[in-house]
Amino acid sequence: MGDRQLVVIAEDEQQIADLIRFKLEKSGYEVIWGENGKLALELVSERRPDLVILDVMMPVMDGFEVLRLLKGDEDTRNIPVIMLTARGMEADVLRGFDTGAVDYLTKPFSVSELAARVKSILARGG
Amino acid sequence: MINPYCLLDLTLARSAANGHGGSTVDVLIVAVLVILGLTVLLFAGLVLLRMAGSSRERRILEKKAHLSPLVYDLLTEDRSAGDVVATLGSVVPARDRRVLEQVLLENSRFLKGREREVLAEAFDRLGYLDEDLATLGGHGMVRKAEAAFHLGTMRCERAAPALAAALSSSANPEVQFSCLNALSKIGTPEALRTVMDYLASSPEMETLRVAEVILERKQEFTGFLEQWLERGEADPSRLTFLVNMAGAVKDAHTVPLITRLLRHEDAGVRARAAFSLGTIGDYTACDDLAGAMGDGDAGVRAEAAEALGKLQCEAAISALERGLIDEDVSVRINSAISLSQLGEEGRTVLESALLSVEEAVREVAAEALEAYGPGERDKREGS
Repeated sequence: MGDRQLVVIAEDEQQIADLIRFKLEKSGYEVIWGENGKLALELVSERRPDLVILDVMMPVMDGFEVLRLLKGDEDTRNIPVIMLTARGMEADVLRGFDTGAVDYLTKPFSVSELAARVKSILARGG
Repeated sequence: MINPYCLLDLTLARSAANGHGGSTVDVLIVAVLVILGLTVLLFAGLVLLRMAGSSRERRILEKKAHLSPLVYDLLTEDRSAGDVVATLGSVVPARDRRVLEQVLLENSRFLKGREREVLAEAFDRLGYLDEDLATLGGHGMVRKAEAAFHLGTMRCERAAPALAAALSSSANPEVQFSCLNALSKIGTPEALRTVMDYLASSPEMETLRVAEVILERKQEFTGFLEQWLERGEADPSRLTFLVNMAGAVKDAHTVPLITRLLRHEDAGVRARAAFSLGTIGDYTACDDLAGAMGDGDAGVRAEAAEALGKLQCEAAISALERGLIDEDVSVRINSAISLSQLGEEGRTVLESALLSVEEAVREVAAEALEAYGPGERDKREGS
């Protein structure tokens, strides 16, 4: 358990989170899920994951606020973040990169592509 | 549980014993007891129904939780649709067909590429597509709308002619909207042509709903909006509809055409043009919007004032300053709010307005400065 790389998914839609978790667990990662930004932030603080997958539109605290807090904290600023954005929200993408995201995927997305990007980012050490 | 008939018997027996049989008071007591008993029975029935409903929902969730990993496994293992259908067909019992359909639909909503194609093919081969096509040709409006929604979610190209037929034959707005949305999602040239022709001839459809349809295929629609606007429309309501659409999809190509409409003879069209220019967010409209601050119609001036703030038109500060002393209160308010969004220069104008002899001007300036004051601005910049 301990030697598997840990990924936190921050996503309010359980169906999406379940599918990503299923795929990433099959690829050998440990995955935990936070259904809103605040919960995900708590999980990151407690578990210090190797990577975070962050949906932009979430209740309680949106993805940008989570990203800003992660990047503003000395302990979490180096954790790579992949943003999940809605189609047509190109401005979101720029804003995400500006705040420190390393990659993004636009919904609808391919779960295999997401897994490939996670693998690539973690292989190069974030 | 209280049985109202026992209570009735007891009451009648007591009445008879007391020699009061048939008195008004006894009848009233009986009536109250019967009503009470019936209320208790009704309440118990509702509780039972609710429990049955929750239990059914729980069972469906459990079945979904059981079926989902199966679908995920097939999706993520690079299997062909044939494999998926064979596997699902062999392991999913007939009684769980509807749950499986929901799982396929829910996953198709956010997946793309090969993964969605596999789901769509499985949806077709498992017979759901034909079932939805049959429903679409049937009578129930809710079921028709639902079937159209399914076909759109699955991007079933084969369903496009049936959706087009249902769109033209149904007078129900829900069915129409579902068919439009489905055709837009399917996105073949014929399907999009059907949507565009329909929208062009149906300006009464709710703007936001149409925007939802169009946004699905923004790139394909922008050219059409331009064509429609260029062609020109004599009917102001249709023109307003098109201008609203251009604003809703933020179609920057239409800015020159909409700018021209700031001089249209109909005040409603001019007002919507000003509004949409603000929504689209193209700075090149600033000069024309500043000119619209001199429009004879207060509604147009108010929309123009708001748009100038949205576009951060710093060159329009003097026009907005004049807006502060406009005879119309909404123009004054919008001008003040827009000035508060235009940096130091805008704020300086508002601060000067605090000294105005006109109380109404002082009021809006003070409110705008308070709402978007330095503290608020610093907070926003800090974030």
